[in-house]
Amino acid sequence: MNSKERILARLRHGRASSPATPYDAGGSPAETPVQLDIDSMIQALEAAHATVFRLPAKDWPNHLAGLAKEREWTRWWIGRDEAGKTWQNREPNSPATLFTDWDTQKHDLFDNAQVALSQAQGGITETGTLIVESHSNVPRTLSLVPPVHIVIVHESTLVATLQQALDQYGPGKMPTNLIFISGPSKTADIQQTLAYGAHGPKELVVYLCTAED
Amino acid sequence: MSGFSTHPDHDFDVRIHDALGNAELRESFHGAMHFLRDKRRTQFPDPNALEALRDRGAAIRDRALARLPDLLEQLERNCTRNGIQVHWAETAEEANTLITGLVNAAQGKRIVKGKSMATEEIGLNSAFEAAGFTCLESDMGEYIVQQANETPSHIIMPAIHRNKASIARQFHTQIPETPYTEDVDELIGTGRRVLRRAFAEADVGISGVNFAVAETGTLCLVENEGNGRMSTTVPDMHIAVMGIEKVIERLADLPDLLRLLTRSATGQAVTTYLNLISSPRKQDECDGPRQVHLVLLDNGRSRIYADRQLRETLRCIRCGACMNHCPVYERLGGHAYGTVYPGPIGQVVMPQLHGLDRAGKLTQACSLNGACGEACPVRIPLPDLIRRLRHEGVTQDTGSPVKGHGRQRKPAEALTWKIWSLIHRTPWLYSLTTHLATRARKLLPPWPRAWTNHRAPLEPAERSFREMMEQRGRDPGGKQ
Repeated sequence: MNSKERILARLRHGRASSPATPYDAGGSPAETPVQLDIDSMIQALEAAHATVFRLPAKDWPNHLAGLAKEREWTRWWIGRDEAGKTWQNREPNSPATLFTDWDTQKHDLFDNAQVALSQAQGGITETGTLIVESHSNVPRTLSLVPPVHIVIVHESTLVATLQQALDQYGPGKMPTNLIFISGPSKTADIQQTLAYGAHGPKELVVYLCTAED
Repeated sequence: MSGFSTHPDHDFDVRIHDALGNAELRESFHGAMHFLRDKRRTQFPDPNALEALRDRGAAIRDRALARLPDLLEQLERNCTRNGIQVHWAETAEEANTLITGLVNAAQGKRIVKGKSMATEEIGLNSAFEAAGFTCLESDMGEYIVQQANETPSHIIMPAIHRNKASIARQFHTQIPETPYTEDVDELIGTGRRVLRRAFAEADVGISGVNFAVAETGTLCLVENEGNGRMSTTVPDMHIAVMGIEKVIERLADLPDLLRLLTRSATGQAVTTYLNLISSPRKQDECDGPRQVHLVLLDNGRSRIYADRQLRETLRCIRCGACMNHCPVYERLGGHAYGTVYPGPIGQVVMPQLHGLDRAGKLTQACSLNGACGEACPVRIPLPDLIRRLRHEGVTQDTGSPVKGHGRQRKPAEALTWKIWSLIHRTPWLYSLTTHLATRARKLLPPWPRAWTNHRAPLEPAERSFREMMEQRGRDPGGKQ
């Protein structure tokens, strides 16, 4: 027998010799339903130190261009998603780096990137959470390595709870990496003092896009 | 890195004495535990909702444990289908050999590690050192503790025993070109700078797993810093290590467990990152690890599983609420226990792992106040388990799977209790003893110093309670 067989044999023997009496949670009331509430999403995100702008979808590129000028962001990293394409159209002359070859671009990303822009696949209003899937057009490190992360999310993609968000996934429907982001990176490991930008982005800027009129 | 002892009973008294005498340490823990308890309380404003949620959490964990062998096989099948390579390890040694073998095969040199209790449990860092690899801890707290050649003192906040001044001194002396500063943002900035270099250059990333979902073959990691994401995303190889009890049935089980975990651990409604890993980098993707390995660690868990009561230990979701609420832990701090898992959960896990002869004394560092049991989000009956292990430590032939029965038994103590029991079972002997004790109370030998050092000496009353009641029966209304 190998290790796996021995472990499983011990577990099966243990289960047979003292059968489980499953914990009875029958008396517990079902969870109170949580409503989709964009205000609470904004509140939660801002409480987690994120910056939120809520505006019509067509307006974010101009708004972001203004912000970029004010903050002097010049070294952009984008994906080949809707947000990335829109931004390239808005700023055709602004140099934004696209991921093409990780092995050669890795150090540049770590050392020189200032801002990353990407599209979230959805959001959770209860906890102020963005749902970010990895896929061929958007690398997973885009939302992690640059010090500022700008996320575009459409209000039509929001759900109320994590439960509802996970309902959209399941066997056969999992992206390689599914990330739920609820603010900029942070730590309280030194004397319980909160500090932002532990390893991931120090700043998270969220554009909540309302439907076009 | 100096590891944890496999014989935590050794010098436990000395460590307790040292911890109680260390004012700085006691202040750190006092502050931190109150802070964490208050934060948790504000996250659970409705006691009924909390109790209902604890019921659901316990039921989810129990349901998974009831099907544990089947779920592990399902997890392996689904992970394999997704491209994650699954390995099984019966012991710490086997796991370490396996992991160092994987690193060797990939010709890895530089390793970064996200916070993981399972790898602390098996002493992976020491195994790496012996194999000639360097492994850098990347969680800020773990990084601070590793650099100081210490061990974590709390399972969620590893550097909780340290204040910012001592961390400022450490960074200043150990990291080149780092000026002394007690500014926490700057200190974290220094850690960020050093660790970013390590992430970018690492060949292998090691992580733990908070939950593994059997139906999808998904590894779930919960964190605030992003070091877990870095360790599992940037290096070419990701090795995840998890105890076999961490598997859950469905994706739909996650929300309740996460709600309990983050609120109980740090009083947060949600953590910054919830990272669900289902597969290595796919052909058309531009980043992510090319290989993902999952090591399923037994290390005594299947033995614990055979006992229905001890099995409840395996519900643990490693939130640390039991230690945050333990008055003994608050006063001693994590290092006094000398174990990977300190506090109440450690007092239950470590004797089961190492045997009562090596770790049975730990169960004595408990006043059975019950706070841990009331705090546990998945309702592990910690006080019952501590009491049971105490009993097994002084009794032979219990038929329990825990090793080292009776090894805590002391002849003098056993004799004392035998006499006590005899007196209380024999009415005439009881009367005689209380009669003698009350009449000869001035003649009793002086109390041992260990008692009177901090307490007033006790003296039997002039008359026994029974005598006083008899007197009152004869003389109702009269003064005693």
